[in-house]
Amino acid sequence: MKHRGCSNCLWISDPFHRVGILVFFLCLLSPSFQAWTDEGDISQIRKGVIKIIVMDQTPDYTVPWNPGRMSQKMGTGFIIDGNRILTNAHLASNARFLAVEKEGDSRRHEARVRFIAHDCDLAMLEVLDSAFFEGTVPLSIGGIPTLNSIVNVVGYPIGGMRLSTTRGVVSRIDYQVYSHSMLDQHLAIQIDAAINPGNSGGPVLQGERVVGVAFQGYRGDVAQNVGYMIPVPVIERFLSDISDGQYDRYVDLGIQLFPLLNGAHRRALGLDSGDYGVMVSHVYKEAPCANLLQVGDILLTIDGLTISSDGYVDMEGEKLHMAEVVERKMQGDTVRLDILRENRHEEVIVSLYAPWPFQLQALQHDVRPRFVLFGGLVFQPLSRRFIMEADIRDESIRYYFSYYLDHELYLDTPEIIVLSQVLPDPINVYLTPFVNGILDTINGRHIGTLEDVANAFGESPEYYVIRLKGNGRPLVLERGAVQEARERILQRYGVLQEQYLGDSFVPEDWDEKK
Amino acid sequence: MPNRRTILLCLWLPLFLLGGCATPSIPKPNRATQDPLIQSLIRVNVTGQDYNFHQPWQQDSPSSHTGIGVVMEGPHILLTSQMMANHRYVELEKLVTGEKGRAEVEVIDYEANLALVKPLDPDFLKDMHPLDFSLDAVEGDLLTVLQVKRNGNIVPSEGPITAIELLRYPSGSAFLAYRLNSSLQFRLNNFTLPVLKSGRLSGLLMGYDSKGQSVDIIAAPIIEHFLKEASDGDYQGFPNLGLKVVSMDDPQLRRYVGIPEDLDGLYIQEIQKGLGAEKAGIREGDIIIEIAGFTLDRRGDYEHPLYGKVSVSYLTRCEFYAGDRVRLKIFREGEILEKEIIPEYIPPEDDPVPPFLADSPPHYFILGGLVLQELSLPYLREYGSDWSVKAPISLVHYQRNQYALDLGEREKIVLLSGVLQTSRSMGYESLRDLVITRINNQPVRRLGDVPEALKSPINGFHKIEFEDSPRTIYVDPEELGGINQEIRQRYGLPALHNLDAR
Repeated sequence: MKHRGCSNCLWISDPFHRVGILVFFLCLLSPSFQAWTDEGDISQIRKGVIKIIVMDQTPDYTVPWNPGRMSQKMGTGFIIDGNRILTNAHLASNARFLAVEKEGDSRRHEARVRFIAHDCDLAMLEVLDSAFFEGTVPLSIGGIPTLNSIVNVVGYPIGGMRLSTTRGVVSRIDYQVYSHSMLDQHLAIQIDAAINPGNSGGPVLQGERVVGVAFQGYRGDVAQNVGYMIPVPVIERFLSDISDGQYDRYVDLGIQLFPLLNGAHRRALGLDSGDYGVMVSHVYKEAPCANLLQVGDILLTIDGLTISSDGYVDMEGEKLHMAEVVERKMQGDTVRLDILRENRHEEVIVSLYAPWPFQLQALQHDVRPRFVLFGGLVFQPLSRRFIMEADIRDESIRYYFSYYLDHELYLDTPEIIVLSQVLPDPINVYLTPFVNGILDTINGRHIGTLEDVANAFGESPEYYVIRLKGNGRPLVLERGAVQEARERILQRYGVLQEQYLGDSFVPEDWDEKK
Repeated sequence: MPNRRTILLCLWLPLFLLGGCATPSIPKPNRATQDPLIQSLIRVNVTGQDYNFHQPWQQDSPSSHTGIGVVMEGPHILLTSQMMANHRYVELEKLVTGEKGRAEVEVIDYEANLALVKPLDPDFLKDMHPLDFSLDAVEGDLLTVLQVKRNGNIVPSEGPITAIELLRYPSGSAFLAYRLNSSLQFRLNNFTLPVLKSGRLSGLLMGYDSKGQSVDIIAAPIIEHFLKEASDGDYQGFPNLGLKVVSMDDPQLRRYVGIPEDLDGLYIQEIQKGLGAEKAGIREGDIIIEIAGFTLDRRGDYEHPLYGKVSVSYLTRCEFYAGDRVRLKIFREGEILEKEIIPEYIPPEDDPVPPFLADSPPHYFILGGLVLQELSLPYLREYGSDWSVKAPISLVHYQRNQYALDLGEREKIVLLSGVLQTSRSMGYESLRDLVITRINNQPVRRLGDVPEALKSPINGFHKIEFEDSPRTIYVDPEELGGINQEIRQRYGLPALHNLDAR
């Protein structure tokens, strides 16, 4: 399920923590572990929990040809059967070098990412040297803990050499935005045990079984004693998704719903005052329900579960949003909906997949910034990371980003290409006022993706005529002038690469599907 | 011409509360300046009451402003309009005697920040002398800003004109202004102060920056245009050609359009629908070379006989009056064409998203607890000083692109601005700031269309359609009476709609 808008106050446990700074402070602590009274045997558990040290490189969207900013981060992981290590995706993303460490053994072993799921913040690592696993005990995975039951969090909060454990109760089970992507919403369990940077990726246990992976919380000035863990259904879905050797993202119906709580609204649609039925208020055109559902349809059941008027279903004793039914399915699975359309009952079978346009609004990881540099003009596609890093306040850009999905802008322009910078040179000094303009055409050709930009500039007309949306004044570059300035601009601004066209989320055949 | 309503400044805030020196020196009474002028100046006290566009049925608390008006031929009193917005009571006060009399507004132009008022008692100004008018101020001339102390003493502050150029007025439109280097000694919080050159009126103070000691003054030619327009009883304001231009100084653009090196001019980047330029057959991409015999340079300036280089929008907006014929030379595809544009005055409130609305209460219509309104800049401003970031981006998008977007039949953008919760509107309480497209299958072109659309419910329900999710909701006409009664009881609203003509 996709979340509209982003929440600012969630932190992801690690990125700003650097190993080394706090080691001294932590050495003063003398943690002492005792066997937990409620059945868990800490001496066994600690053999399954490991420390993960990551050297990462974050791409620089303001200088897209740069290799990126390097930093070291640290978190926790745990071993499950088959010598596999589970941790958070946000810990392993953009990793250039990964190492793992067992408690009380400062030898580091190189690890690598086997699978990474940015939409649910989970990753699986493998260790190259199997000797690492000698003396370790894999942890087993349990179920959803009941409200108010006690859980223990084990990990390496704020660094340290020894494991730390904190304890709390299950406070709430609900949907939560996963701040690693800032868009995806899944089930998450709120606990009141202290979770701090470094706990990320560590197990939350009930007895000796893992009931969650600690992953995010609030900054101290927003809320206290509120930490979140990824619950077992999400973990199990991840493990099941990767069982075929690759991770295919979460599937989604691709619709918006409006609760049918108003009496007049229900009567107008021919419903009685009961607590059932939710209205479809938008159907995304590039998503599984396109052509199957339409605005105004009333969803009555999903896979046989009755949908209440606010869109929730009773599932395994919990009241959960109907999206949870879809959440647990895989690419290619189907879901059955009973609907009411113009007072007639119909059954709709939806074949599920992950709609590609949703990725524009998600924070992307493990990708390099796409760009084209031509005549000192830098063109970049809109993405959440671009907007965040360039600190865009431009009204037009924010509109195109916010309404990319709802106004189906992706049908014509799967990528919104922005003139993001002008590297000043005599050939372009009059063009700086056009920074933040959105590309419409180049030499009369519609620009739908960055590839279109690269292709247009690959031709050699006498004039390159670039038109921006909502601006009648063309940007004109002469072929001769661009050629003459090329080396000069590359050298002056230390440009390492003139374009990067990889890592597109747009399917190559987007145009044919229309 | 820069987009005439790219509003940057807030109209209703006093932008220039006179700061100045905290420890005023004691002025020497200057009898010599007092005598003749005191008969031409009058204190004007205005009590105004703004509207709350998020709760359009109610007014903010009253606030009072004071200013020094100038007696002009007529007799009328000239003021800045900024202090007049949403006036409830206008009072004249003689400087020497303190005698008070009520006044009424005759003409007001919020865009140019000017207003004329006159006393209800025709004899009130009998003993006063209208001030002469001076149009010939140029850079370097000494101007005098007149402040008046409570006791009636006039305190002059003199300074040279450092620049004559187009500046943004509080409305956001750019008009000619004098910029003076001078310090004003008192914190008298006057909204209008006269500015004189050699004893004759040369402008009205519009803003003062105490740190930079710079004074912005509404220039005499703007006042002259205003007075001329006001004199015939059919006020037409400052007209517009209906085109947007950018400079032609980029040599690559020049070579691309093939304009000879000896021709300058401005590139037309946007033609506003329905205005003079479009009617004259001028197109996007044409290059204006000459307007009314004045040659334009590449930056968009022309040589003014008094001021030197001045932006061409001064020429088109102030030197001409609505209905004049303006001759243009344009360059199009290698040819020079002659065109004639008739500039038109479009009152700001006729814009799809009006930049300001004053002196009449906001329109609204409450339909079963749903509050319907028209989008306007004052509505967006209710989101605070950073409204362009805080207000819903879809609405800001309409405001910024109102001339470029294809609005179809729509004259205004009608919104569901919010929902007053009642027992029968429950379930709709989360809806706000949604653009309404149709009611009962009839297009909603303006708020005034709503009552007519409500006459024909669809299958016994009022069907309301929005541009975005939830797209369609329904209201039961049978329930409206009950809901309205509930709203009156719970929220104490004086009226459930206001659609009165402005």
